[in-house]
Amino acid sequence: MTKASMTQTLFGIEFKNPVIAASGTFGFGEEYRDFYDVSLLGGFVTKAVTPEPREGNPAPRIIETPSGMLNAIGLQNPGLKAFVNQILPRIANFDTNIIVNVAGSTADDYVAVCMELNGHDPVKALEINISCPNVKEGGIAFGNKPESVSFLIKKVREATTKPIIVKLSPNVTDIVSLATVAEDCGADAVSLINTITGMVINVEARKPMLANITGGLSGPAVRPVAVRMVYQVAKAVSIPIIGIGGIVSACDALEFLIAGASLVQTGCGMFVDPKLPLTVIGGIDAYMVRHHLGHVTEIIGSIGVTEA
Amino acid sequence: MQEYEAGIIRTEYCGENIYVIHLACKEIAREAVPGQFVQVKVGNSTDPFLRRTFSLYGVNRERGLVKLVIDVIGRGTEQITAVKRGQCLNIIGPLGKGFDRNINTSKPVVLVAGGIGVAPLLFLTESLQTSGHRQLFFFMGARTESAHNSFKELFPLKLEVYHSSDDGSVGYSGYISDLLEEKLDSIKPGVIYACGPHLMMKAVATIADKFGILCQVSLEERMACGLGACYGCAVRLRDGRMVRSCVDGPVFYAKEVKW
Ligand SMILES: Cc1cc2nc3c(=O)[nH]c(=O)nc-3n(C[C@H](O)[C@H](O)[C@H](O)COP(=O)(O)OP(=O)(O)OC[C@H]3O[C@@H](n4cnc5c(N)ncnc54)[C@H](O)[C@@H]3O)c2cc1C
Ligand SMILES: Cc1cc2nc3c(=O)[nH]c(=O)nc-3n(C[C@H](O)[C@H](O)[C@H](O)COP(=O)(O)O)c2cc1C
Ligand code: FES
Repeated sequence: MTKASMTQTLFGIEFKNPVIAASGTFGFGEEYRDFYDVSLLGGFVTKAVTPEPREGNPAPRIIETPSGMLNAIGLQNPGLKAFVNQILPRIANFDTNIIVNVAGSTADDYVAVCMELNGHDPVKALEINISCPNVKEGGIAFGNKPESVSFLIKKVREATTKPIIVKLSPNVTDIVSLATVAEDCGADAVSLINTITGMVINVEARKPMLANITGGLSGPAVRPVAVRMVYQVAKAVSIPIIGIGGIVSACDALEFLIAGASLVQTGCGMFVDPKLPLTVIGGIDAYMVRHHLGHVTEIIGSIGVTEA
Repeated sequence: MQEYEAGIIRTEYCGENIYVIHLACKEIAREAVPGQFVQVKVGNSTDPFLRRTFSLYGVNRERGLVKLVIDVIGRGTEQITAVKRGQCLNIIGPLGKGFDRNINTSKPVVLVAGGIGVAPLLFLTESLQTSGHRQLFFFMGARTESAHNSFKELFPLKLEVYHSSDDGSVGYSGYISDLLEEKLDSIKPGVIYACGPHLMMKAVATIADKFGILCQVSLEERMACGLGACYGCAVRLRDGRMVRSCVDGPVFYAKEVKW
């Protein structure tokens, strides 16, 4: 599926198609290899990488919700050293864009990960996760105020020459202002949305279903929120947008593209349908044929709106 | 592991909301070992959203069949068991690590099941019997007599089964783990395999430890992907590590698990 009609070069990287696997739902790129060759994807984002290993939150960490799920994984990952020494060599020659999701408790944590990865060619871009709702420090703490976003992104910008994608949280009053701050501080792109904080209660036990009490909501239930946010952010920034949230079909992905996203990420929909990214790529292609479109960029931001 | 559209050959109702589904899937039938599981898609809607996890209860390699035993407890299991003969279930498998069948093979084997935990242990029983093992002792705990009756037909004829029930209506009155403890001295097994509610497995693990017998358990940690991609099914081990039940398990050595 390396069709010329789907290829885009964004922030200096060539994407063979607009579909990327989302962080935390695709492991480190090796878990779906029985189903297909990852080189068919536009790229994939790794699970969050922090400077030190993290064991994550206690179990239970997941619970199903109407058309979605809550998760409170808590950024479990083997840490920067293990990523660089053990994982990266195994995945380095995948013929697709490897984007590393970067997280930490302090600004120095983010800087440490970004600086180290700057020296590794197989890593094509860094997705700065300022939106994890499931950790006590860092994550969303950086993502909910313009000053803290600006403080962090400026530091990260100095730490790396690789493209940085700032992953925004929907758990904020005004996502548009945060997106513009990210752009002003040198972000090459923004991705949205991360999960929406939520909670489920076990009524028999009268206790939270998740050990972490709250978790992040993802899946089709969040899609209208995500599409709305992409639409609003697209009107405010000129850097590329990566649309994420509840994609389970090509039609869903097209909503994001039409709203103004240049790329999309498929997340927990892949748990149900591992081949989802390929279905989405095929469906976008079919849509382009049906609408006589020569290139995917003709879809991006093509929404017709008469604002009242 | 792969994704398959598996045709339903037959569904049997055993009573007490327990169903046995026979599916045509020659690839899984060929590859699967006891203790492995499948992820079953529920219908075509996004609600319920996630796949449902079921241990394999048996396979027929020659005929390319796989069997599941399903306890209907909610919407997912209800919809899956309502799918008609001739229609398909979308399943992914075989997943996870199965039981180690080569532990102290010269000695008797004990299997301890609680309720629906019987599924992987009956697959294991069949496999051990096929490979010539004759000294199998099966401990089966269920709440009531009617619950026992619904599982009865799942058992092979030539198998020594000890029963316990919460109300004493069948066999030993009380926990199956207590009955196990009473019998261990006379059976002197080389290994114990267990699957059932968490507290039952914990009790069996403690007993196995006390008697110095190797024990494997099949944990039923809630899963999302089942593929190792989400870290949703984490289990804490005694060495402090958090491992993924779907790829590092669901079968673990009981002494490795932090109970
Ligand atoms: C490795 C593994 C192997 C397994 N093997 C088998 C097997 O062989 N056979 C088998 O039958 N099962 C097996 N299971 C369990 C099976 O996966 C679950 O029973 C199944 O997913 C339940 O799906 P459901 O949609 O029917 O229930 P759900 O709708 O998910 O609900 C489950 C239960 O939770 C309750 N519940 C829901 N919401 C609330 C709330 N807010 N407060 C209080 N209670 C609530 C419901 O009433 C119901 O009793 C296995 C699980 C694992 C992890
Ligand atoms: C189990 C799970 C783990 C996740 N882990 C991360 C993570 O480590 N870093 C991150 O930026 N986003 C993480 N996310 C968020 C997803 O990347 C995505 O933004 C979100 O799930 C919305 O997309 P979806 O509805 O398609 O899943 C995680 C999501 C899930 C479901
Ligand atoms: S269920 Fe996703 S990693 Fe185990």
